[in-house]
Amino acid sequence: MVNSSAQPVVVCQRLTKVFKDFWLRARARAVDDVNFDIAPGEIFGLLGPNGSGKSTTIKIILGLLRPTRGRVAVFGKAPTDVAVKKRIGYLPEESYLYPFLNARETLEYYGKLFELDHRVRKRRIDELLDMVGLAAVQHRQVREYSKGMQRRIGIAQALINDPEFLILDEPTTGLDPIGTRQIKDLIIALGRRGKTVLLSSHLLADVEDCVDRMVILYGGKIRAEGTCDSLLTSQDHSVLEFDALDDETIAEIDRLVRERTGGERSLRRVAKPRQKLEELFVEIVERARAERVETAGAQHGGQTAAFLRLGDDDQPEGEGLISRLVEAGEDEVAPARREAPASPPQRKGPDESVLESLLAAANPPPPAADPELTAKEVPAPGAVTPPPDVDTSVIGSLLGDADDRPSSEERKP
Amino acid sequence: MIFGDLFGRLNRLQATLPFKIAASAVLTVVVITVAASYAISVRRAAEASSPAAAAVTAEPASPSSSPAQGRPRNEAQRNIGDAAEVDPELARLLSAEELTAKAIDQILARQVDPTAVAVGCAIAWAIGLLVIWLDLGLTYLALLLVTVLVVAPMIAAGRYAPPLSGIAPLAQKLATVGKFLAAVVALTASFTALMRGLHLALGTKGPITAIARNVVLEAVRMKVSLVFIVMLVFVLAALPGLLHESTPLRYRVQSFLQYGTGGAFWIIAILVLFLSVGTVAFEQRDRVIWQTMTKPVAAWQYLLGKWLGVVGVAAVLLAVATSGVFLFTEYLRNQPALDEIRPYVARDAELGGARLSEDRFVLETQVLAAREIVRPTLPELPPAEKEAEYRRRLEAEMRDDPGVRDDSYNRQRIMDQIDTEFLGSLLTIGPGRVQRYLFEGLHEARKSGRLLSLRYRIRAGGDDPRDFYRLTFVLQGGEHIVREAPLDHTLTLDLSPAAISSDGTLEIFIVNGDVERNTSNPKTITFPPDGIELYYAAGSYRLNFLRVVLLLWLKLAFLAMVGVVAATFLSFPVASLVAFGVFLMAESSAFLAGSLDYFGGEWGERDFELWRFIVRSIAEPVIWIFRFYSRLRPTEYLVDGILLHWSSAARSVLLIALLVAALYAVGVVVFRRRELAIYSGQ
Repeated sequence: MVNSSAQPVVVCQRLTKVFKDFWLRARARAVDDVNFDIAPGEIFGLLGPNGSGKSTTIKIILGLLRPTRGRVAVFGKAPTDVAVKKRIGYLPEESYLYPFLNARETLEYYGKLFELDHRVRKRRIDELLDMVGLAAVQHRQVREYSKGMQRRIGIAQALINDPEFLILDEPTTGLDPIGTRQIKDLIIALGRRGKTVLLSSHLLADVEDCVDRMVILYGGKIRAEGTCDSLLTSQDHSVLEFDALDDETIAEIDRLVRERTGGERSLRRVAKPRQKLEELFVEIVERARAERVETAGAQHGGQTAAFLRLGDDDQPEGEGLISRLVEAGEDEVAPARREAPASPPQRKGPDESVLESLLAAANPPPPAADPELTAKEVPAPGAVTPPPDVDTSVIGSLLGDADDRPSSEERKP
Repeated sequence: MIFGDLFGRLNRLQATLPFKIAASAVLTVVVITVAASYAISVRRAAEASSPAAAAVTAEPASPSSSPAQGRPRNEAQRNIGDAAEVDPELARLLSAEELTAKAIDQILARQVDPTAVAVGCAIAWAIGLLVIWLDLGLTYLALLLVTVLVVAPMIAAGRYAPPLSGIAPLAQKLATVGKFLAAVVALTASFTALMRGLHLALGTKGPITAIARNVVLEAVRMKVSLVFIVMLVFVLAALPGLLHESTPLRYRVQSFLQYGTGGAFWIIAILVLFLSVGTVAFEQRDRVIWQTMTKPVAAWQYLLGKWLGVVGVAAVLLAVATSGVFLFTEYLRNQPALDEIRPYVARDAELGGARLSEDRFVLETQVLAAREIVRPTLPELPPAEKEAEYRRRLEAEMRDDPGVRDDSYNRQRIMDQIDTEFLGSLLTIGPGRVQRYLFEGLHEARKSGRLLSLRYRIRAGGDDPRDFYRLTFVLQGGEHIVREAPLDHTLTLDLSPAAISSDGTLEIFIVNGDVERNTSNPKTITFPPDGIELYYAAGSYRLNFLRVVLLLWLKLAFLAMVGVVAATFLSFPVASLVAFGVFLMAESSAFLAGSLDYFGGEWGERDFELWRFIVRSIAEPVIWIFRFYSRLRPTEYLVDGILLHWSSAARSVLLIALLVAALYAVGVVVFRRRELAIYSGQ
């Protein structure tokens, strides 16, 4: 829920960071004249290859580094302002935890740094441990945890204060696909609650699913900036999706396209969509959980902690109700672009009887595309609302529907 | 598992409130009963073994205070002479011998003094309550039972094995090991309970206490700290075994106080340095600090929390160590001294001889004491004479070496020589000659009416141990005392506070000879710089012990801040070097100051060497910075039985507090400017 009229959460103006050696010689220009803002409620992506300046930018925002030039403001104040840090949660690229503390003690420690009341702290720690799936191993020292388990604790400590602004640096590193899915769900849930999230990653598929806007860095400079749609949508192609078609039908479609476009356009590729590996993995794990198979590792966590979903239980009842109403409203109004559904929903296909009648009158030409080719097409969980400038007359002629209305809202996998 | 279930139930039981209340009540009753029973039994044993105090006025068998020619007592003196405690005003009427007898009465009264037992019981009670309320009651009870079952047979074997049998040596070794194990268990249990208590006390919300609490956990759970803690426990437990029973009790007690307190301080100091440096440096190296300093924690809170945690750990360790030293010292005090058949019962007492052995007397009056020491006020050479002497010597040197000039270096050198020689002349008495020594500032001694002791040591020629010199001490009013003194031996002479004038001064003339026999000694005698001093009991040994512990803790607090501040901007190895360097310089700055006198390197001196000048230039500021620290030698006060005033302690507290605050301010400024994402340039 982006509130672009309010004061930006983060403002970076002409941000530059040059690292110097002991003799004050410039050695590396990690960030070079970077400008961007993050609006309240925005999920902002900071992308780039290794060494592009993502982590350096984040450290400057957090006050762990000072900029060589330029200005950074967080909630309108300097990054080193202590009061500002009450509103921030931070997950670094590696989990830097005290090895001699156990999970509960770790969260207790960070909770006390925020001066959380004892009861609030205890409740949040219980919920967070359940959420990250470490409740059963909470009394084991962190040094005995696997990397993924340490990462989960890192996520939990970043959320202990229910931050308004969450900075996640490579949050899915070390996590299995279940954990990765949960992180994405969490980010989307937080975004829906109006939290601001700065997400840095080079796992592009993870970022694409979650962010509203992004910048792409290379060599410390911004190379691209914009929303996913503006950056990723190709204006030169159209994608249609049908239930399985036989070769003749495919050939007829190709013939029709050539006929309508005077031979300038044709069917470029026919492929069978396949399920994402992540979804298969999730299905297998869910099945194993249902069968109650034992595991010594992290339990796959429960749902998002209550205080993160609905706010603190100490909130007045009305606020919780308002939150729920807001959530319900957003579900109706906003496209579920940020939702990561667990499994592809059933889709309604076109009326095959109409298609059959169309094709029965035609002599199917030889297929123009190799139907054996498969590509990593992303199956849409539902029908896709085409962009306004796509020619739907072909569809219309095939389906015999002159209005070309989409059968359901556009959904992003 | 049955045992698992049982332990689980016991664990749950000891966490319940009714159990805690009941256990606390039982503990209180047991402690009171034990303390009262012990006090009653000791008193009964003392009354059964010692003759009536009022009837005996014999002296202890000590050559240092052999009876002087007694003065007849008047009625008033006789009336007050029987009281154990003497009114100060009236004490001045008593002779030194009578005051000595009173002192002996007071010493004998200590054997029935329940204070030590009460202190021990109080410590046990406090730790016991802590254990119960920390949900450790049954755990510790089980530990106690196991320890008793294992250790008691080992100690019993040593006590009851037939002395001349073949198994006696083995049984003695077994008993020694048993005592060692008992001490280890007691110290470890106390340490664990107090650390848990500290952990609980730091349990409030807030960055400072949260960070301090983390440091406490780090100290216990990280191996480096644990090594030192284990070392401390084992050293303290093993120390009593190194004291030979054939050594006079006063030396055993002094050794134990020296090595127990001093050794514990050094081990804890090294731990404090490692912990204070490591807890800050490693967090920066391992980037753990990122997840702390990106929370609402100010630089000053972070450093204060770290310092507080280290100081807390040091306080617990010091408390455990010094409690152990105190209690074992009290135990040693109640062992037979040299020439005693039982504690406080001299071998000669039943035959009408001295009631106290010399060993016991010195132990009680000079070691387990808090004495005020006064040195004689020596006159200074009048400036005119000093200047004239300087001129004369300078001219003589110029005649011998035309290169010598009248500059500041030579002036200082010659003046120092004059002062040293003049001082030496005051402490030197030729054969048959007399020297006057004035002791000032004795108002308190006069007011308190306590026995004075003049401690002296003379040297002559080659200090042949076969030579004995006769000295005459002449007091105000003409009273003179003749003593025979071996060379280079420390002796004491007891004096009455009546010898002190109303202006708080005591004048003593010392003759290098015997005025009664009209003979003089063959050679000149010399008193070393600390060879003549007056002392008197001015306080309680136990309170002195407490002040000493407080000062030791303050020194540790200073070291903790040095470590924390060094680690704010230096890597662990470099910060450790700096912190240890500061510690060693501070501890040795007094020695360094003395060494510089012979080192040279002063600008303008003959045979000037640049490197010596550089070294001196570095050493002098170091000595100046740490001069107050080097004067803080609390262990020496304890070992020598010297009073550490509350005012001295307060002054030291203030100085250390100021230095710690200054270091802290520097640390905060440096830390705030640090880019925490960079460590060692990486």
